[in-house]
Amino acid sequence: MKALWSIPGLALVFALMAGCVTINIYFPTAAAEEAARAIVRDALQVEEGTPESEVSPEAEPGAMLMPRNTPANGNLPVLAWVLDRLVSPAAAQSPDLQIQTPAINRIRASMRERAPQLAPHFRSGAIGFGRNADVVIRDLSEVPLRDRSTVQRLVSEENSDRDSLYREIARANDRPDWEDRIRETFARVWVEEAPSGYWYQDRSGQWQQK
Amino acid sequence: MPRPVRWMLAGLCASGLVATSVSAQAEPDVSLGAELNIESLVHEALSAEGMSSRIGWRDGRLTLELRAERIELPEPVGTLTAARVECTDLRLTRREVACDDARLWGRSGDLRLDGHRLSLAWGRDSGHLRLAGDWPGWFGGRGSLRADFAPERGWDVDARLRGLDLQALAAFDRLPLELPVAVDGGRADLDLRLRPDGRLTARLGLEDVAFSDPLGLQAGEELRGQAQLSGDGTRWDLDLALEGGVVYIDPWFVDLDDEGPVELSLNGLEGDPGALAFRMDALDLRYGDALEARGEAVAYDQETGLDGVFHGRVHALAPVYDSLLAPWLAGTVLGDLATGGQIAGHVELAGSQPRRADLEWAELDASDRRGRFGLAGARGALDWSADEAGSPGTFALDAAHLYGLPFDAFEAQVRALPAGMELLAETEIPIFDGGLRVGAFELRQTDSGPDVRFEGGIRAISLEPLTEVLGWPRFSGRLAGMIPRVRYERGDLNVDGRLLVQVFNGEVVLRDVYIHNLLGYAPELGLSAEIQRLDLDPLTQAFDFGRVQGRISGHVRDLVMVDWSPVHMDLELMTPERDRGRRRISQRAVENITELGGGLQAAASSVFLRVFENFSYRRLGFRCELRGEVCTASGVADRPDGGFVLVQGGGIPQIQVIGYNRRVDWPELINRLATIQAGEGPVVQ
Repeated sequence: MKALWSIPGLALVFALMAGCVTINIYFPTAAAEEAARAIVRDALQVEEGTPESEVSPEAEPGAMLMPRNTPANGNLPVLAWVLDRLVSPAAAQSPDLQIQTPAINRIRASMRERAPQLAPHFRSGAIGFGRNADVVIRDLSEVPLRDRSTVQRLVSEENSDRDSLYREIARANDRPDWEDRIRETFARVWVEEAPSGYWYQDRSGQWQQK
Repeated sequence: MPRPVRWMLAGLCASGLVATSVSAQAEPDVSLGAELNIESLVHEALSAEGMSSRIGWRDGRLTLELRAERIELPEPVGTLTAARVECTDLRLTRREVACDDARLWGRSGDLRLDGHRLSLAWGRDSGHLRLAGDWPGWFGGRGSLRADFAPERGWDVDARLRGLDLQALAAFDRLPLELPVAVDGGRADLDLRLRPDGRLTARLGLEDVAFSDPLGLQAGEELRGQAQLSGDGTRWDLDLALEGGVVYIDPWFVDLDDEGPVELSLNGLEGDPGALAFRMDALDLRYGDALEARGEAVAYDQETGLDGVFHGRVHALAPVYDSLLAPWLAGTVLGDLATGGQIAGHVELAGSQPRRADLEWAELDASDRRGRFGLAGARGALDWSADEAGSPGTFALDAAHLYGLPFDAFEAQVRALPAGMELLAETEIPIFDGGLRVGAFELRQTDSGPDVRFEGGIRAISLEPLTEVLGWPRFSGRLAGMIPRVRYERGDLNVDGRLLVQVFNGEVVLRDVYIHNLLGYAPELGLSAEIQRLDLDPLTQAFDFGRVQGRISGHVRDLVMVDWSPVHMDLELMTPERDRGRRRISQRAVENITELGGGLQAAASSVFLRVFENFSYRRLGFRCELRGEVCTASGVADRPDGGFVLVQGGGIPQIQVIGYNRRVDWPELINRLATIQAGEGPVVQ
């Protein structure tokens, strides 16, 4: 009994408690930020070199390897070749935060497709990045009347996609409770990655121009 | 009361008073000037300071001049300064004081009167007042004004104004109401008539009106319309018609020139604007030729909510959906539809809560532009009550599809419940040559979400057309099963019971089927399956994979397909332990699977491949633990060198197919299988 109350004993107790707490709230901040950055750059169609290539399945130069492993007629051991060489992309998967699922890929494709339609309205300041990692209408008065419902529709669809994206990332990692943290991370990264001139809401909801 | 009327009243009251005092002192021959200095004059809401008047005689005519330094009038007119009335030809008779050519001066803020002409008359015995003149040109308008006052009857005012500049009017700093939008342009014509009995009729014509709020969320351009208001001060009739132009009220955009006028009539409107409460006998709304709605006995109170009976009729769903529903539904499953058809219905509201409703629809088409679902030729009728089950109704359609899976025409007898609906008679929804039999169906909205009760089954559906629709290799077989129960829990639709797939002379039993987020971006389907004695001969032929004879059994546990691609499963397929049948594998099948392990084993066995067409085998099998896109593979047996046996040969010549790659990329595997299917089969030399 006495040993339990000794200083090493107390330290052990605290260490265990701290350990438990740490495990419960553990959120892979760095991995989430990296994943968010890759997705955001992709969605904003940012031109510069991106870390995205590390996680993108397209980055595997699969077709290029084919002749090396196959006979001249090129078709005999197709199946075997496929099974043989596809170890690497599987192993390259980030262990911290899974962002490669059919659902996430599909949402990202949808966002990528919408990006060119949203971009002019971001540039003009008609819309901006909201503090909840969404898109918010800022000022439609410069948009021709006829186009305003189109902008509103794009914003609604984009926000629906973004909601699904944050939810799916949490779900893909079997941690639905991470959704809010993921959203917070994205809220920051959208603004950080936005080209200058884009508008965003600060923490108090005030509009700022980057 | 309109501002000009008040203005003129001020002048008239003052002149009346003066005339009275003059006539009392100087009748009948007035030839001398008289001056009155009144320190303060109070007449109802009017108070004047520094008032003076002068009556004179000039060229045989009686003249009157009346001045006030400052007159306080009620808002919105406010303070009048430097007010002056001049009359050079005052006619004084026993019955009447009149001036046909009075002139008015004065200033109130930006508004000025600068010798504005007016005719005035006052009946000395009757007390009748009459004034008439042109509109002083304020706000760019022109027109005429007339006002009569009889003590026993009250005011009779008639104003006809043309071409009022709405932008100037909206910028007027003493407007009695604060506009929620900025008016950027437009002209208005106003005909106003206030009758002695208190009845007011106002007709407003609007032309080329533009408005916008600061964020552009409510805006209109080139708007053209009419408004007519009539009432007695407590009950009002209002007719509004917007006939042209474009308007955007977030999130709705309406092009009135294209989609026809929007007309709104309110009859018998009574209300208290301060308390935000109103009621009316009837409300009628028309939206072009597409939509009509009528409300009866409509009442609203901030505390009790909205009451009334509303009837609606959609003559053409397409424009109503495109303009009114789609913007509102954007981003949801129903946000991107191609629609058509007619809908009619009525709803009774009490305290903003629906009490009774009925709905009838015909020739209704709705198909998702992303191709997820659609229905055509839907028709039916339902009535609903908050207190009891409705009377029997129908739900029928000509065709529908879900992700391309077609449902043929059916008609179901259904009944609405206070918080749900139920099926009254067993119904079959045809799917190809079979169908989905629905024995019982009930849907109830509970506090924890929708509660589904379903009992039915699948009547043998041929797999050939089904596999074609699903884009799989075509193979024959049948799908059937009993579905004793369907549960809806936390967004998952769980299907209890077992579905039997009779395929390749064997059976696959599906169980624990669930669907999550069916119409979302990432529909998820989960199930487990027992696979019993599938005949490999037709199977390998269907997949064009070389020929294998024998049987195969196994299972799929915890299969999860997201967006129809597997992301998780434990698959095991093996030659059954006690299989007595013929077990042979063709050279081409071996070729196709031989190099699963790659390397030396394949090279060594390739000698045989060129000599023999078929081999006999003892066992073959494949296991795959799929997690995400990675399949961890194994076979019928492990080897000390780390490989795993996929095909265990038997007899002579004996072959062994051994795999060495335990981690396999699943999507690539499926792609390649599809390539083989497409006809690019391996060629053996």
